[in-house]
Amino acid sequence: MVNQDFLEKVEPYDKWRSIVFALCFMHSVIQERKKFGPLGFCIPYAFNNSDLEASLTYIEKHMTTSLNLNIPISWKAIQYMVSDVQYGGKITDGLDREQFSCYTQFWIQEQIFAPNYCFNQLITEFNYHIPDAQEHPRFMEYINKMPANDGPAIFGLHPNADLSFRLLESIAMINVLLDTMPKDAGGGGGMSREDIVKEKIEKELLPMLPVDFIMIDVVEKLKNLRGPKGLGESGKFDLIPLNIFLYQELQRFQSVLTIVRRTMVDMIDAIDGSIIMTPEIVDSINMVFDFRVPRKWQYDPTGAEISWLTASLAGWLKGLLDRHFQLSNWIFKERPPSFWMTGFFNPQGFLTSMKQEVTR
Amino acid sequence: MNAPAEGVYVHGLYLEGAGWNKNEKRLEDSQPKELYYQFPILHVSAVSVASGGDKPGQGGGNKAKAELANLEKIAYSCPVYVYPLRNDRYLIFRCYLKAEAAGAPQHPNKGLTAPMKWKLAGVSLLCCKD
Repeated sequence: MVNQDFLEKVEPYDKWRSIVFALCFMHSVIQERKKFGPLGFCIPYAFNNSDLEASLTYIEKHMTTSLNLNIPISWKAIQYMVSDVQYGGKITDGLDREQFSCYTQFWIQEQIFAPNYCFNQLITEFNYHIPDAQEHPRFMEYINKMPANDGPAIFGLHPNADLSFRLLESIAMINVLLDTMPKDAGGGGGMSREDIVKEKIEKELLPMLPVDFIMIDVVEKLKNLRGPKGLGESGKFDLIPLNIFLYQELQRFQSVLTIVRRTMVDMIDAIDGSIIMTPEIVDSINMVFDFRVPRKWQYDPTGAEISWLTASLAGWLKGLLDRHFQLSNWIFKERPPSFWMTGFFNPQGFLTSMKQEVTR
Repeated sequence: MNAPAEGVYVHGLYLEGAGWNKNEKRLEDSQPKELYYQFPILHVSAVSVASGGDKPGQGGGNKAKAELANLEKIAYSCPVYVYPLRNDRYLIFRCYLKAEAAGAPQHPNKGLTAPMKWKLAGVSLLCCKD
């Protein structure tokens, strides 16, 4: 895309070359940033060369016009066109957009014309400069000198990000391996898959489940559950915003708990042969055998999330108990001084209720 | 510990991508190998901003709009997510975290402000680690 002619397309040449280099550099950085997963971008975007090309074309026009009219280059306009229009057209997440505009503000600006301008924030073993050259081969030479394995620092990330990235990679690999494991191979232990799962549910999982919340009791309790001082009347505390919120949380928690209990009983019955083994139950059994969370516990039939997402069954069940602990303490004792926000189904609702309480 | 007079205390958050300086109450580079930092208890409360939406601010509070604008300059507006998988749907709220020590030397590369640094580092608060 960039050749010698292109490098001599717009006057003043040295500035044009610097901008082209900076933009191409930024393009490769954001392409690479994807590998860090959520630490890099919230959503992996498919930026491609046409984004880069469009941005270059815009800057070319802009520079030509400003040269003809003898006005300074408007960095703001260029930054906006690159981060919000050309590349930004693909960005759907507000926070990614903010982050992207940080890159443009940092790398597409007046400073890049200064000699020895450095793309990296701190001095590292390799410093990314704009080469002071005129010929295309010299640029290529410089680019080939860049380290093959670029460290997280150039992305603005902490060295730990590399750790996160490698973790992600290995987890992905292990999951693939898990999926390729044969399911029907009967182990030498003599116990079949079903028996193991049945025993596990009967001896470990079912007794572990917390007691149900009885909604009629809950409503009674709520009426006498104090909120902050001076809010609500005795006996009518169920109208305090956070108590209403608590009621909604309890309802949702109870529905998850009911589903969990029901699937566990179904699994046992199906293994015993007293009810028909449906594909759904088989799936749940397989999941429990693999120490993973049955789909039914996390999603409703429409695919919407109904509970919390964790990778392992143990983590999920711990979440269940922790949530039960917080909710039952709140409803049966008193409002806790500090909340474990993770344990709510609807944390936004929690904050909204809090705002309502403060403003009342 | 007692409940605050206004708002709520929230615990159980993790800071990803940065560390936290407890004494100065500001962001700092994370320790090597420490991917998540267990964040101290956060006081979340509501304040009304003269015009424009109200944002729950961190600790001390940002009462007027001017204060909010000032906060924009010195603090990083940190998103709080439910899962490490960041997504609009899992974004709960944002809070301002002080971005650098008072009187810190200006960055050698001009144009990069302290809040921008954390932005590029992808710092966020998470409710759970996996």
